[in-house]
Amino acid sequence: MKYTPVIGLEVHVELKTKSKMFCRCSADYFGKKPNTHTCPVCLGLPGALPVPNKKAIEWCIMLGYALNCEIPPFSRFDRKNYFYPDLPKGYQISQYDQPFAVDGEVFIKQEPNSQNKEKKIDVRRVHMEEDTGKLIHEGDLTLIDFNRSGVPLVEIVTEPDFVNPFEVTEYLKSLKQIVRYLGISNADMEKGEMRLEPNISLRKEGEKRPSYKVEVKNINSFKFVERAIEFELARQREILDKGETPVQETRGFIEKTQSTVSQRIKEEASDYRYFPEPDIPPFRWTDEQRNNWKTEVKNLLEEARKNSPKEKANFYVGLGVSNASGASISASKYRTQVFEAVIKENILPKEQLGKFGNFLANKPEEKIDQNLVPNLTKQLINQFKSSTTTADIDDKELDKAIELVLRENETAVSDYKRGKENAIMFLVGQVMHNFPQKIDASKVKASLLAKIK
Amino acid sequence: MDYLKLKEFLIMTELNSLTIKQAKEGLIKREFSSFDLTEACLAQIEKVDKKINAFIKPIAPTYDDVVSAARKADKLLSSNQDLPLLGIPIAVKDNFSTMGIRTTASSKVLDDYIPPYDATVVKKLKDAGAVLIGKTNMDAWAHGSSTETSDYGSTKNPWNTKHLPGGSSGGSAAAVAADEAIAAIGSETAGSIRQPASWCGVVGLKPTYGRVSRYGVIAMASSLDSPGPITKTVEDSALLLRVLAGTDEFDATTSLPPVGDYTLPVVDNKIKNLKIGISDEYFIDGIDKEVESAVRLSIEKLEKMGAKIVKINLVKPKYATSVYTIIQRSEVSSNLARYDGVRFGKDRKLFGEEAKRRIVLGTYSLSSGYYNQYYNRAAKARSLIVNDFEKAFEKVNVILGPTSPSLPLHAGASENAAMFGEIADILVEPSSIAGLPGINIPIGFSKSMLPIGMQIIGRQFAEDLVLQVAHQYEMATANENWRKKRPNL
Amino acid sequence: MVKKHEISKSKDLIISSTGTTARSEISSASVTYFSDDKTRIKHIAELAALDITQDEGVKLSQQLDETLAYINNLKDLDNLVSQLEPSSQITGLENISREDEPSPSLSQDEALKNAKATQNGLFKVKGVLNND
Repeated sequence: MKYTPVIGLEVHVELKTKSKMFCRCSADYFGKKPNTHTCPVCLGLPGALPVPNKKAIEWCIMLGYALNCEIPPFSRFDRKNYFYPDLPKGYQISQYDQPFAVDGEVFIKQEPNSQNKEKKIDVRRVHMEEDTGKLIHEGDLTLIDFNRSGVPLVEIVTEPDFVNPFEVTEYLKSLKQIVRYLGISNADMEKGEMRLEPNISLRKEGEKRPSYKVEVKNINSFKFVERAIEFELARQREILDKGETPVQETRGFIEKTQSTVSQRIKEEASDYRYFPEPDIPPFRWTDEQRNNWKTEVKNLLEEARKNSPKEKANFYVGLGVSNASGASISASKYRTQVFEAVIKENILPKEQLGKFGNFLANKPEEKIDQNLVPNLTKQLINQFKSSTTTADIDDKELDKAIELVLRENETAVSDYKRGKENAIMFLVGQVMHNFPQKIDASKVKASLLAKIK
Repeated sequence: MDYLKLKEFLIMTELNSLTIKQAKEGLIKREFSSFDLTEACLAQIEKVDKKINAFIKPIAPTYDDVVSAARKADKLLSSNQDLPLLGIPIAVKDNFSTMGIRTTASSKVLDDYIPPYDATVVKKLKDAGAVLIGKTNMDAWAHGSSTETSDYGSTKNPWNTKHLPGGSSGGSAAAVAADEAIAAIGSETAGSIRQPASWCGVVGLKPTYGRVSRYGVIAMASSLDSPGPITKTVEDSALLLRVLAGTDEFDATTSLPPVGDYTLPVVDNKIKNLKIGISDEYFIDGIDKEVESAVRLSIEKLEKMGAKIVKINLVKPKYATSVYTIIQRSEVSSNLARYDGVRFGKDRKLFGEEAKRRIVLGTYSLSSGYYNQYYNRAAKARSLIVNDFEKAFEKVNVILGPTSPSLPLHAGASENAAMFGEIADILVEPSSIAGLPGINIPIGFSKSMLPIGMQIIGRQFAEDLVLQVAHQYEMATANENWRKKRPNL
Repeated sequence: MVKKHEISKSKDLIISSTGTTARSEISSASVTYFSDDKTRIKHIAELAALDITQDEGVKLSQQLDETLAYINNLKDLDNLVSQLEPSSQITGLENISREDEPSPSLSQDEALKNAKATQNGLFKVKGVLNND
């Protein structure tokens, strides 16, 4: 029997706003002492009221535009009512039937051997909600930290358009890149800034739709995404092969065993009794507002793509920097700053930029104050200049040294002759050790090569 | 003078029976101090509260804290500080969060809850120099119109302790009627200020929804709850409203229009040519005959003062009762979900019967399969009622009618009824549903010496007109004999 | 099994000034409900996390029916409201939000102060299923 995977994704992205979604507590809660980022509102105390975060809403809408969604002119918040210890009010403020964004699409890379280069994934909706507190299970006790309660979350729901784990990871990569380009989230899965809940089913040949679906939770790392989905597909395949139908349920991914396990299921689906949030007036956008957001997103994405590390790295390599160094510089905000300053201000002659780039790439990563960069750049330039001023050496001395090294390192020589490129650098290093002062490495290399041949 | 004699002296001076206006004048003229005034109120509380139970016990703030606050006020008064409520003892309903002071909403679930923050209203009272004298009893969670559902014993009507004071702000209304405080703060979802004010013979104003911040008020029905003043005179009501009203950054539903002046007394005659709408629907079947004749008499007086009575047709109040019951109980069922005993308070098991009743109906009307039939239908009918009033206000300036269809009922009347609160408030629900301002003013007594009140309703943000009309009526009837009566406690 | 039940026709409005015990205005409409009241109330009690005894359940179910009988009078308005939008708010306000500026939070002590059980700065609760 042939089965076709039918996978839909629900992704939650934590926005990196300064304050929480409905109160002014700092949203920078990760790693902080428990219950130190709370107030009557996010603690759900009697009498507290929610006031929405303007920036969070704008960022949600911008994400909607980045995913090619339609932004309806009218939207509002709703209450989702259920009981759980991490939900202080006994309801979550979310959006039900009038979310901020609907009907979008994303194009993802397809697997290398597939027919088309790209695949379209339909985005059903993008909406805002507030995060819950964090539960810590200790034996038969549950401990609760409400620092995370009320942090803004954007939920992105796709149609069940995915057919394999590769597509899912491509989508996640795209989504991560988009939210980073927009500057609205770091989307670090390990920190819980991006959370994934796939709905996974298998459709039998001839079936229009699968007769069940399984939701998988607790996939906390990028590297587990593929594994979790593969496991689940295999598990379901086995059940279907037996002629049975997998139970419609929620399962949790267990890191240790790299498998999914059933979580206790309720007999009936939860009745969340959604109704419009009476404490928050609805939203109505003008055409002008929406066009402004749309344009802003377009500009941000264009700018970001231009300035993407990949683009930058290519540019640096064009200046004479090695591939590895190009990648290293562009991956570091600090190194990029220094290098671009050097280029812009013509501090070094053009021919030396390549060398400087390689030199810079090997310098340790600095996390520093913006104001210090010019001074540090100066220091680096000076270090570079002194290191590249090479002493002149007597050719006869050099030849002597080279012959000595070649005799003592026959293995390396034969390695090189057999094609091991790195061996030559080892030999260069050995030669240079014989001289107390700094000498020109490329000259040494050239002489060595001449001698080997 | 030893302390007991001092108390007797103070009771004799009857400083506690002053209005805010009179108290302010006396304080400024140095005829007495805030300490004197506060002690007089405290003495009265000690004397009568065991009979009427208007306050939550033990009374908080503590005696020492109250006296200390009064003395602070006296210091400020002596340096000629001019704050709107400086040195005035005010009682606050126990659903307003008071930082460091126990706040229970009269429910055992919150028996030991001490809020870490002040409600905006409380903050405004403090900033205005008021002396918080105690938290008043109420129907638990504000669910009711009798104060009988309080987990701390019922409050009694000061005019006849065998009768109910009304609710849910029964404690605040009784405290003002019994001169235990110069004024009090209550809250109304539909009737909870106006109805107890009517049953206790005092002035109660429900402002336009959103005019006064709900931040810190233990939520009953979010789209309806309106904090407001309960006072001895209309002038006092205007004064308090001015202190309480305004936009609040902590409450997204507070109104944007600037706070009105609400200045009283008025200069020109607001009653002349005023178009007063009267709807026959509000003299419902079964209305108490004495209530009806008292209100009709008051209408005649207004006519004599130059008002034009215009007959209007309004949607029958019984539909408003259904809309209110559904929407309020739905919001209640959600607002009471946070009481799980984890972060504060005690177990949900301690919810009383009335709370459970309302949560059941609310959950039912929001549940899947019933949402359209109940919540959504009620929400549409709410639009109808809003439109209905808008149409009426094209023809009239204010609407007038009885506040309560009955005289204050006997103790025990509310027990075991499926919808006591909502039915008792039938005449005030329509205006609450539409978010309109309404005031109750006392207009006399029944033969059995129970208070009768009438209500004046205006369009949204028409508090100034409503207050002026009420004030002019009060002034015109100032010499009526019944105004000289005091509760016999 | 579904039972049809006629609720007594008592038409008196509750309020009589002699203060006799209140009774809701109950119309003579018949109400249909499941004879097994317990299921309905049980289900609601689960959704609302309410503790309801058997006896309470019977009473609540009966009172629920009484209330439903009253509020069903809204059917009379169906023609008038069919074209109307539902109002869940009546302020007419729109687009209310605040700037993304943080303010100080409660201290850990203040946050935990009213809790019955805490441990190491965390709220403590009896074990919950590991359902995250």
